[in-house]
Amino acid sequence: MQIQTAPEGLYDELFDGDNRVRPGCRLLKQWLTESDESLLAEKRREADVLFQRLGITFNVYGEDQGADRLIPFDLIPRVISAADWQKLQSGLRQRVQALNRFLFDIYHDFDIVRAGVISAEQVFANPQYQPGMQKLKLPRNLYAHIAGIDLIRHNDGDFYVLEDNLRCPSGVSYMLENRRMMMRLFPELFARAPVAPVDHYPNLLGETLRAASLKPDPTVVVLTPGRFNSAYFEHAFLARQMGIELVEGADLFVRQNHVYMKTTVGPQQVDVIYRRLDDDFIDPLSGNPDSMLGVPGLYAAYRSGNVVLANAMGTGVADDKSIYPYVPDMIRFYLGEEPILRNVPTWQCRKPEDLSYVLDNLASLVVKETQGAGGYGMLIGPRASKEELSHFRDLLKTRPDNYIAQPTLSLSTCPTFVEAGIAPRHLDLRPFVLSGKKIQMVPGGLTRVALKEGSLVVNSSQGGGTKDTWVLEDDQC
Amino acid sequence: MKLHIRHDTIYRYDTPTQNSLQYLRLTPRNTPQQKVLSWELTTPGETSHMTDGFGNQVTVMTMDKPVSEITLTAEGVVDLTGKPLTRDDSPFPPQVFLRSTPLTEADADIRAFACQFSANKRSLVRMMNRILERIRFTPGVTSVTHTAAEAFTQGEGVCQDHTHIFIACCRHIGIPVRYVSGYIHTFSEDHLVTHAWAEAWLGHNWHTFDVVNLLNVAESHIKLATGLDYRDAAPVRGVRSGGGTEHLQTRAWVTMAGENQ
Repeated sequence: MQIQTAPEGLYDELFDGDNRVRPGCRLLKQWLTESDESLLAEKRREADVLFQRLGITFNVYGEDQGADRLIPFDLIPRVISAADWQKLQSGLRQRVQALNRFLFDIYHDFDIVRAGVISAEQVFANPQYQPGMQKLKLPRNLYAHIAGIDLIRHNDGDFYVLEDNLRCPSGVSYMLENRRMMMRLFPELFARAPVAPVDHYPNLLGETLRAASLKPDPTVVVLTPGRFNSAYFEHAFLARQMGIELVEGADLFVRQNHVYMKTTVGPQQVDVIYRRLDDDFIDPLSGNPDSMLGVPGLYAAYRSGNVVLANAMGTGVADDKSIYPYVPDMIRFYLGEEPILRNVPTWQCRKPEDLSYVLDNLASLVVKETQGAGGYGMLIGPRASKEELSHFRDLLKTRPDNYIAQPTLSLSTCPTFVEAGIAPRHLDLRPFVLSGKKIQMVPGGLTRVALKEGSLVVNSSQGGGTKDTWVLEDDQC
Repeated sequence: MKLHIRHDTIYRYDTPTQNSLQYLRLTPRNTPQQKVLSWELTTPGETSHMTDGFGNQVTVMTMDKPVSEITLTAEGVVDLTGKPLTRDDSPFPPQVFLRSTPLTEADADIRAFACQFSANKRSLVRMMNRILERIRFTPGVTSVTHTAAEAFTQGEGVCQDHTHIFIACCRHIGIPVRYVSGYIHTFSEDHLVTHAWAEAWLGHNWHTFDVVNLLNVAESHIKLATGLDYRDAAPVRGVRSGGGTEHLQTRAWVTMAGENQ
């Protein structure tokens, strides 16, 4: 098939600026050129049927039906060279280590605030800061056991961190299923390409969760808000892959500050809860009193050190968009190292001089809510209508502290199989970083792709799709 | 001043509850302002303890048999030292208390009202007076789920509502402020002794603002718990299954120790 190339000035993952195939991508390029359109179309239909049958769907909030939907899967993988991954991996390790150190610090001695690196108000008045975590001792001082770090590649060829996700990052099941799907549809490709495996992720996750407790053989469960949650499929999937129980709040109870799971042979004590519900819903007696999702008394058990939550409560303060600009400083402060991965330059609208710059340059910037997620509540200046721009101008003036702004980055593109044939589409990358006895990750992560031509919004709730992510073990292919 | 406190909380249920779990913040802690000379919390259930993030003493009570009545009795003697509040009695930097919560979110009316005041004691005393003028002290018209904005619109409420409004105003104009639940000793008979008030951070120290009593010193206040709002400091928070309609009765006495009740 014919492969359309990316417009000039963009970084394409397959071709360099002179339209030469990048190192490590020759095999993929050859395969795409040799495959005809009807074969790819047939394989795509096959993938759709298989995904539907597996039940890999997600809910979109705000849609009338809350109906299950397939996340579109693209057949053409995204390739990351061994050399690029080496650098990414060291950068991710460094970043997540600093974020965990920061979380420990702001719930204990506040060194970073005392040193004047970040203001007390920005940390402590942040709605994600959980006073209930104050001076709580956690095994290995770990808060974010599972982190999903969103990266993009800019047109200078460098990876930049767009966002850290330290609450309940989701999407890893798509990473795993996308690989399985590719191996099933195109086994011959994997026989030739030196693609690093990812299927041991559930083992590493299980190891990480067990290491979250200091007990020799802890009982670990996955706590889900239930089947109406958009990521329910993933909760069930991970529990099954790890061979541990998937529970809802009503399956657990607290007695004498210990947590028990109801089983057919009586109560069984639970030591680690991989919880996939938000802080405010964990315990109706400490958070939202109307929540039926959590476990009454769970906070008391946690506070008493008798159960570990992964991730810890109160991690949201470290991945908040208003704290994000300080992560490079955290790395310098706690580790005494220069950051390996770069941040996107960010204007904090809470600062008057930043706000005035943002208002003057709104049409060229991306504006995001500090508390927003999932691509909701954001403005992409260059794509916005006059009305949208003026609406955001008002919002910024009323609540400047709710917003940050960044330059409109040119996310890299990758050939994608769309209606018009094989055409370049923008993408990002979310690797999953696990912190236990040591920091581990599988090579790669979840690649999300904006399927609409020119679109920069990759979120699945906004019409994004996913791709298999190939980290090469050897770039000479 | 030594004060004797007795506080009964009685829940009655139309049909027996199957089980229930409660967080009880009914134990005062020692501070420079109050020495707990004796204290006993009597409950019908199984109990365990924790100290929450704000440093409050929490008794966790579980009942796992059907009951149609739960009686909680807190009783003891506390010595009020008369020392002023200091800066060091909170485990947190004061900025933690700048954040608004669902119960203390300032709406447009509260914001407009709050803007007339500024971050000094005289101005806040004036604000306290104005709040009490606008919000008539009326027991029974609001509930514990009422927000500051709702009570402000309604124009009446109890100490919890006055305190939430005061907090919403302070946070809107950038003053860290916390919610306090506890008891107050008064010589008048018609006043509730279970009480709520606020403490605001003005530069170097915490300052008491008891809106309902228009007091800015805590000379007769016994502190049970502090937090961002009522939810953090509530003397009782519980969940239960079964029980039908709940009827709550509270009785409390605060007297000079040694007096007859």
